[in-house]
Amino acid sequence: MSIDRMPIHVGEIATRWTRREALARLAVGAAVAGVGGAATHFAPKAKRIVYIVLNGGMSQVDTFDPKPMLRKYNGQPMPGGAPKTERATGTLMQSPFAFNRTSSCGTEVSEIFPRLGGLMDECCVIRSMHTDVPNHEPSLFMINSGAIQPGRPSLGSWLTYGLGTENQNLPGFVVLCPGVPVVGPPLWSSAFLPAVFQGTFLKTQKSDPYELIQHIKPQAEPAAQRRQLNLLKKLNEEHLAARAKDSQLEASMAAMETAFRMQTEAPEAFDVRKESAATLARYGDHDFGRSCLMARRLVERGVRMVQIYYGNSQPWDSHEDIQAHKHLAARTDPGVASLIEDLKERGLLADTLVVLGTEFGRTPAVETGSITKIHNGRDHNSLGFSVVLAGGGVKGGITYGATDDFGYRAVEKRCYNHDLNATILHLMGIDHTKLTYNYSGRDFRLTDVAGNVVREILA
Amino acid sequence: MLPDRMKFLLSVAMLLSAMPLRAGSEEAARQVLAAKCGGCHGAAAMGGLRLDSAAGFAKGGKSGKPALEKLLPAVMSGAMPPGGRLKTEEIDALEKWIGEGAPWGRDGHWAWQPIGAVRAGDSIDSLIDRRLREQGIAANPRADKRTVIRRMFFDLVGLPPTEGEYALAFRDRAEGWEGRLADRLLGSAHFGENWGRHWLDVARYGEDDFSGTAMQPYKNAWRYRDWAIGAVNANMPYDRFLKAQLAGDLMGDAGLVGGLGLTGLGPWYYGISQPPQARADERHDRVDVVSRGMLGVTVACARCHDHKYDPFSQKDYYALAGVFASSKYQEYPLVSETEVARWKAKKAEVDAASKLVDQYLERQGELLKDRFAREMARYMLGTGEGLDAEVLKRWKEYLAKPEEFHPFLKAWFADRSEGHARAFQELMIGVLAEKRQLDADNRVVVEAAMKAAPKPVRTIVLPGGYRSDEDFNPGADVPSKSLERDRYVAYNRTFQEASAPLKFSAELTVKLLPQEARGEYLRLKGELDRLKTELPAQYGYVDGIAEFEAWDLPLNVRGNPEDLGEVVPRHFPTVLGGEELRRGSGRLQLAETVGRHPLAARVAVNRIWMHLFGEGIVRTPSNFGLAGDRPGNAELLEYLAARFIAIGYDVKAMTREIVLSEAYRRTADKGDQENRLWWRQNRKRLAAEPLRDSLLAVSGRLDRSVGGASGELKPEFVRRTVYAKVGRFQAEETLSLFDLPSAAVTCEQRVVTNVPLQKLFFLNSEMVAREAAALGVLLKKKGLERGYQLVFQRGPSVSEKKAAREFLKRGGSWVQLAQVLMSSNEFAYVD
Repeated sequence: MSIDRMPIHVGEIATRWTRREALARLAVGAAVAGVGGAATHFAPKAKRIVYIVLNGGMSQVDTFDPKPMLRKYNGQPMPGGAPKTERATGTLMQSPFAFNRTSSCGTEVSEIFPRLGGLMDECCVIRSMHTDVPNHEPSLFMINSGAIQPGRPSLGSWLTYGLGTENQNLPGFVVLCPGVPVVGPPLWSSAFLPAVFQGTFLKTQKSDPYELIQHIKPQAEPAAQRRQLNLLKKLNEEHLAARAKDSQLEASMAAMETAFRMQTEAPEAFDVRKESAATLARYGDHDFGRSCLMARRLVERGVRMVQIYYGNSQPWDSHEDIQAHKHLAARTDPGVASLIEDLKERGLLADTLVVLGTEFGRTPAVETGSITKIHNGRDHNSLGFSVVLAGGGVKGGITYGATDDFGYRAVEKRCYNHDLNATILHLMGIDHTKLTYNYSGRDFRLTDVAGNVVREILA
Repeated sequence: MLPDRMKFLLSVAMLLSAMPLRAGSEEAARQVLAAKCGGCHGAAAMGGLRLDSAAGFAKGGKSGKPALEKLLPAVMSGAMPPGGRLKTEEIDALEKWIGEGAPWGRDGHWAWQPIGAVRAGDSIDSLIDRRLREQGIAANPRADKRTVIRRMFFDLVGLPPTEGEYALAFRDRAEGWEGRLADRLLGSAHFGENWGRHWLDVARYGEDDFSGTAMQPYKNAWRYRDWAIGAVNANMPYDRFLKAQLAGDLMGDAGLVGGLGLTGLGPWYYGISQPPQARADERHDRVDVVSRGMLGVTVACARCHDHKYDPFSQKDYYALAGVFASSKYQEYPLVSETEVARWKAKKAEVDAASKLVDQYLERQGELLKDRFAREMARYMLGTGEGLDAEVLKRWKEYLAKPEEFHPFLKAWFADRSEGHARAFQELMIGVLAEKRQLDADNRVVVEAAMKAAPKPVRTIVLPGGYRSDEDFNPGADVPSKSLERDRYVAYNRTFQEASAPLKFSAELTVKLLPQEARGEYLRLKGELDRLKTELPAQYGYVDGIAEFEAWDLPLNVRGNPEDLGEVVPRHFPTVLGGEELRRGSGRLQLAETVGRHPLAARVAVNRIWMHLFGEGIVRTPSNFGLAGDRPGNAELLEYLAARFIAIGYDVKAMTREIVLSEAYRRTADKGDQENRLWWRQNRKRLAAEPLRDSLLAVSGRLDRSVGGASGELKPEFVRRTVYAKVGRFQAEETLSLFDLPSAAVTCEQRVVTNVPLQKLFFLNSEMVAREAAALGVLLKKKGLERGYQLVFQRGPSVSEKKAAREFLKRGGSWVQLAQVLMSSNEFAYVD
């Protein structure tokens, strides 16, 4: 363990974030080299991720996990008794939505996702997801950081820590939400990883990129700024010449030049107003549609991970009335479908992983517990839910795993949150057991002490 | 027990024999054993064999043979482990270790040993120079006077010297000027600001919690920050400093209660997880901050299983966690009980009056619903006299697009006739009545269920009055009745949601109050307003902890707080002494034991060294265990720890001694050699706070006042950065950009990143623009020579002068020049 722990290494790596540089650098600073020795553990299938979180808890039986038995047993108690969730639930409730097969693979999808339903040949639906706690905060932490409590680095932080970014003029890990989802910033925290790996959070209510990104708007004319930087370079060079060689001083000078270039490149990348009206309409001209469009622009430019929260607080939390899913899906469907279509058209879907996820599912039984509410919704359910994956080395046109007859509990080929994260890391070329960071006396990893790569869904 | 002297002799012997040997082979082997064998041959003891302790090896498995004999054949043949043959280098590691006699040094580890007395003739420089000589390393020369002065200012007070301060130090040419400068700086209140902040990293100081907007921030948090700053400035002995933060309420000195903010300010997890989990996570944080923050050991690793490397058992963990389970959150008011009672009584009056107003408006709101429900058809048709404009507007919006949520307006949309409007009105009057009846019925059911619910085992009150029982959402799982779906949606759309036409918010209710109700409302409101103006601001208090029912925790099997094992009596970790901690909560005993523990002294001097040299002697400053770093110069660390104890845990004296060493004053020029033996200083990039403080200092706008409530980091906030709000929910963006650590967990050491986003701050931030504008004015007024003195404590070189002149000539402004100086490496990196 003769590791040189000079914190400086972090700085040196961080400045030279490009992949090629990382190769050389990561081999040196083992203390911070997540993927010590090589940029990846094996050839990556995916180079970037768009991870969409339908926050609040998407009901599986109304979207991607059709359950004919629910229709048969509608209004009856669940045979064998229902597992306990958070609140009181009553009898089984059929989905008010029809399911259709509109893709050649035959995967059935709810009518509330008409366009996505037609793209199932590109998608793998994992129908056997399960997690630990039927409550939003711990489950949001779980999908993001592999622990139910705060204080662990998020997936995006692990990825940028391990892989760096392909475009050093842009942040490597970007998080989009119109306002703030439940829990908020701790979800994209780098925790004990260097702060530089935390998500860059943008509130997409605004569309002017200069209002989106901190300090990106040049405060002087380019020529004046260039003049300043030339003087600065001269002063720094003289300062450096008077001292023995010091890479941190050189890195600092390089970072300033990069910052100068970022001022032009970053706003362009974030500016969805540069898209045609037709494109905007195709994605949906609202917060979520614009976020999907921005995600496409960002991954096209080499951002490692873009995470999109559907909306503020927890919009998908349909306790009262599952009909609300119809309106939520109506906004979600065009954005996600257009994103997949566009990535495919540009040849990027092959190495871009799109994840349509949620923190947990909902009960197939109607929720009856809380007073003053209508009994047409579903409670939280951590025992079974669905996640959709597309591109990035995932087999399209398949479903994986299954819940029981009523969609309550994952029973077949169960997929734990850690398994999903292990698989995501695998697609990115990382062995999830080897992407570690020594902190507080032990090696931490995203998947804690669990996680199995779901090999069956790999293309 | 052995007399101390004997312990010392023993420990020296162990140090000498064990240290060089164990570095390397044992650790490498232990890592293989833990990673590849520990799953089955750890606590699971498959085949009766444990490979995680010396005793386990000696005992062997079912075969009865010592494990050492069987280990190599088993792994070389590939028989073990079953998951796949070990790699060659892993087998080599085991072989090498066995070849060296398979040392198992957990209990003999250097950091567990007592600290001896200072040896005559030893000093920082003698111990460093001896190692350098042995290794044939030449030390850097002494840095020039300017460099040393600047270094001392930034290291000790975290600020650049003012012109006057610099001149005073520089012109002091008599022998011992460094000592006089050190004394001035150590005596400055700014020393406490800088070094208090160092401690706040360890203390994961934050002014709110993850629940963020859901809870109020801790408005008195700054009192703990000021307590820490004050304690450093008063040079409180370090053992007492630690002790006060654990048990300041039990030491008979009211001034020490301020230290309880260490745990009183959380993190508290509120309802983030179910109560047993959330409370267990809170205790975990306390175990972590005490063990890593104060003792440099990672006891928190033993939450789910025995520690993989260090001799901390899972029992040790729960023994320590029990002390915090036996303590509870407590507010300590800073005024007399009478004043507290008076304020609370007044507050209760305000709350009661406020409730009366709310209830009155709620009742009136219901009456308005009835009134406007009876006029629904008129509003739908939008005809007739005396319609309220606001309500009419809402109806228009409601009816502007075909209803897609409920079916009851279908007929109306097909034919907007009065008949259909009347039919809808009648229907909704019925729905409203039904809803009221259901609510009343449900209330009865829920109240009965709540009454019948078992009483919680323990109720905890957290900051902000948040109560947590062991039960989760009591009442939520009581089945209740509801309207049929479509009727509910119609109700919601018409009477309940924010934009519903017949939703009467308090504000709207007031507007629409009938004449006969107005008088009563104004009376109630007047009373509330009067009481409010009479309510003074709340007294200040300290967020702390206090004694609670003593509770020996049951071990949590695999860390699961709902899977309980044997009860563990509270005690200090066995290998560190194992003292019983059972008087009351055990906190006072814990505080005493921690404060005088050799590890606390070692950890403290290592951190002091780290802040002065940019790197510790042990480079894992919160982990002195087997998986941590070993001291680069062990004798130096032991010397400093012994000195620290000998001089009564005097932080300022310790700091002074290090600063006045030859080693501290060397140049920071790098070479090919590593610097583990301190042949040079380290060049340090200013951390977030001194960087911001320096910008303000050189622009002349820094407000140097000490202490007080925290402020938002807005442009008009010109106090030192230590007085800015510190969020756990959301870290301040600019400070995080410059590596301010997360306030969620105790911070071992700051990382230093170097990224373009930091440079964008210098290019385009409002703050740099503002400070550059101020500095630019100074530069223009005083000229380049004085300006350079102000910023860098030196005059410009010939070429710098030339470059600056050229810059100005070509259209650059003084303000832009100031911005360049502020963005330079010389500004951010201290030699």
